[in-house]
Amino acid sequence: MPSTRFDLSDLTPGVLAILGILVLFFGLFLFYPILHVLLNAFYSDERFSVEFFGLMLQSPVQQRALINSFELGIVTTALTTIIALPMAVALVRYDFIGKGLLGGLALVPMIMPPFVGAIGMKQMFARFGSINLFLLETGLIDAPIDWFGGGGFWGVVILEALHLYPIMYLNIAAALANVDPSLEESARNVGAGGFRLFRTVTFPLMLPGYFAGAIIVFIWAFTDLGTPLIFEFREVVAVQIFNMSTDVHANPLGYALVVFVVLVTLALFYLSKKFFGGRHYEMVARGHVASASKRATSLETVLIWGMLLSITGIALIPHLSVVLTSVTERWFMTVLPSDYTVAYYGQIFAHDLTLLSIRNSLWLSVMSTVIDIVLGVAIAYLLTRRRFPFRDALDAVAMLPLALPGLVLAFGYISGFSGTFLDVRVSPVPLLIIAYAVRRLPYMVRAAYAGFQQMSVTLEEASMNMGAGPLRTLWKITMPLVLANIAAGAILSFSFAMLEVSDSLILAIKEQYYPITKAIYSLMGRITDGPYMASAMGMLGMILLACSLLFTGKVLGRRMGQLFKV
Amino acid sequence: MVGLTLRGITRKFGDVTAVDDVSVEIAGGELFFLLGPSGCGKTTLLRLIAGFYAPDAGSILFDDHDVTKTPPHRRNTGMVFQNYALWPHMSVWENVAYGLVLRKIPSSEQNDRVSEALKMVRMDPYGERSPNQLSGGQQQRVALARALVIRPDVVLLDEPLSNLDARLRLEMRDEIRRIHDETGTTMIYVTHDQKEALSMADRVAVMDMGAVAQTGEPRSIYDRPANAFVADFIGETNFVAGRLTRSELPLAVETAFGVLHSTVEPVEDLSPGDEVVCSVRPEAIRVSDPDADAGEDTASGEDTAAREGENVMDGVVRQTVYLGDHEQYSVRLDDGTPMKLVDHRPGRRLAGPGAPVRLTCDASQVVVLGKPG
Repeated sequence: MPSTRFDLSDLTPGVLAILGILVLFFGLFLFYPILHVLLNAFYSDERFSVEFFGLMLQSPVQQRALINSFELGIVTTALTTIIALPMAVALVRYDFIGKGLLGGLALVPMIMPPFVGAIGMKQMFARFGSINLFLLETGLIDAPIDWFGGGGFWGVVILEALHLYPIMYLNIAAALANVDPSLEESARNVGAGGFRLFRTVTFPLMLPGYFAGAIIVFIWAFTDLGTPLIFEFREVVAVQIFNMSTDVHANPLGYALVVFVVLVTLALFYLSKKFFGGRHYEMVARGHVASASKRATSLETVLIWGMLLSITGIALIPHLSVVLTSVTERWFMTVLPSDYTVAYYGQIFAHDLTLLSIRNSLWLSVMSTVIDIVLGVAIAYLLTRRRFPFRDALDAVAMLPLALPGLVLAFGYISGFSGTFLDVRVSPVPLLIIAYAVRRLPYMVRAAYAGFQQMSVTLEEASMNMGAGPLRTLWKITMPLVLANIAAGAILSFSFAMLEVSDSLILAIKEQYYPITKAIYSLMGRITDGPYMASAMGMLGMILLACSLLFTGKVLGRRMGQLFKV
Repeated sequence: MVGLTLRGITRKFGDVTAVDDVSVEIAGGELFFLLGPSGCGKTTLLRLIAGFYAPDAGSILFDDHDVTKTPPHRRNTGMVFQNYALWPHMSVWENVAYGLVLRKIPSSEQNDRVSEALKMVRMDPYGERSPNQLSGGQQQRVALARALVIRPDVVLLDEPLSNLDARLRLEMRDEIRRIHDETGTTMIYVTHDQKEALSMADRVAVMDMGAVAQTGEPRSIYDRPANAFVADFIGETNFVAGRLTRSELPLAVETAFGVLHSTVEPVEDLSPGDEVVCSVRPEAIRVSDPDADAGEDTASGEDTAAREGENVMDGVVRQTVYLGDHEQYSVRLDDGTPMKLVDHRPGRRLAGPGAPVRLTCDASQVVVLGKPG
């Protein structure tokens, strides 16, 4: 009965006030910056024009950047598909010993920031890095191989793919699990089998889910800033926008590039909605998913183990080399470091730049997490407990930052708020906090949403029935019961904020405001101890992320995967 | 003891009218049942009384006090939820004490009242347990204690036994009835289980499509259903369609197999010529051997039967089902009309399949109802 879309009696003054605050927040910090960029891209000298786009397309540098970014996106998407498809089939369709462990392990690379991995990767695959030296010593090659040929293109692609394949895997696996086994059985029944079955029945049915994953991967690779920067692969859209963000007034090309990114993103989501309705096909019986998997033979088990372990192993190499680099005393022209030290871990707490950046990041992340808790819990509460007009719209807006490249938002903040009291040249602190908060809000909303949803409304009604008002009920009953979920969401928001790249690089202009990631980036430029200290910082970040994800996974269990799907 | 008055309550959800102009008077201390199939609006009505919904029209009075606009936490009702809704982060004791803490009852009195309430539901040894450690039946009892301990004006029970197994359900029926009689609290009990309602209720309101179809004591609802819905929903019955030929007592209805007489005053306004249905309960029909009766009865039996207050129907047994304490017979009358009947002393089978039988039924057991729809 209460399934009706909305109920005016639910629109109490309190609810209206929260809705008002949310409209204001999203209006000011999500829609206004994007609109500002759009307007500046199309209006010059008070009139509508597309001349910036002409300029953009004529400049050979921009042309190159656009082509590179598209190639990056396409090749990365293809590579993640090749990695993730057999993984998903193995993990969804087969039962084997150690399935849970290997399945979990295969997701780990997703949480490792590629920006940090890039540092290690660069060390390892450098002209005289470990890999080349090893091959030279063993006599397999005569001259060092240029692994990142094409000015670093392959380095970026490999790193992006190794970071993003878990997202692709989660989406394909979900799509595959949603294919009703009876549909496949009926296809077998009429004589389709093996690859033909996959091509004609299974693949078309899982296509919407696959496409959803592919879009995220493409957009991520298309707009990632940190990895190309570390590889000094500068002719990509993201780095071009980063360069132009420092002088938004002098150079209008930045607007055009950002608008271009927005258009590409929109076009992709529009296509997926148009062709797949934005939703998965309705499957008849969803309950019998488990019956689709079959016991693997011992040969199959060996093959699956081999595949999963080598994928995860390869994906973790960059991060292992970060670990190695961070404890290196001397590492010159040898496969492994010749002397080890933990001195850099001490140094990062003594050095001005690093210490300050750790303090900055802690402060910024705590503040943004507080905002996320307040807004996220409020939104999740409204979505699960109240019926009001435009409920679906609020849901969509709260999830929007998942699909919106961080680059776009950061650029919008720089240009939209320049000259106001929020100008990043005065202090980037307020906008950094807000940018972190907006970007991580979806995780918080989803975590809290899951908490509210699994808690029966009657528990709250029973409290009111006993004589507790709405606020006391919230405090005594609702909050204690969803606390674990809120904590999980908050920790996730916090640690992602600590390692956030594009907002940090673009918004933090003065050194005194550098967060950890920007400090790492600037350390990479120092020849002597830079990479070692950067690696030590990266390690700290990875430990923080790993701990928080372990905790989150414990609280959210199987629903954890939902946090990373669009 | 607080009495309730519901006046013209209407509640819509979008285009669906869940509760449609319901008016009910519930006396103080009554155990009152709202009975109906799922989707009939009974739970919505209960939640309107608790204050979780506001009515679109009408008013709710506790004694003379209008509570229509009072929020749920100021109504002083004690609700027992279908899923019990015990708070998992509090012990049994804390669950029960919650309402008293909110009412700022001194702690010594709190202790007395909580242990009294737990004793009442026979859960006093379980105070320190967490609700998760209790069985369904035990959770049910704690939920009841939590609702009673605040001494509410009215206790609201929302299908309280529907999640329990059959044995426990029977046991809890007696328990709730006992607790009602001990406390004397007004209780409103929602269920779709007619046996629960018939066996426990002081009075029952049968609901259909958001409206009250009939209100009354269990016996009168069963014996004198106000319409075909109530006759069909409460217990089993045989419906026989026909045309009313006499509207004074005893009523006469022309059916496909002859005339049926009824000495029950109809609830609805009926006049000769109206299409009607007659409801005849299976247990009101008796079986006799047609040959054995032939000697006493003359050929055209209808007039004789009417004079003696008895209806006579001839047919053939199609099927019998033996169920230990009773036996069900399916009979096809000579014109093809099916009749179900029940023999409550099935020591021996009265007639096997294929045997011709004569059915008799007292005119006081035939209820004439307006044709539905």
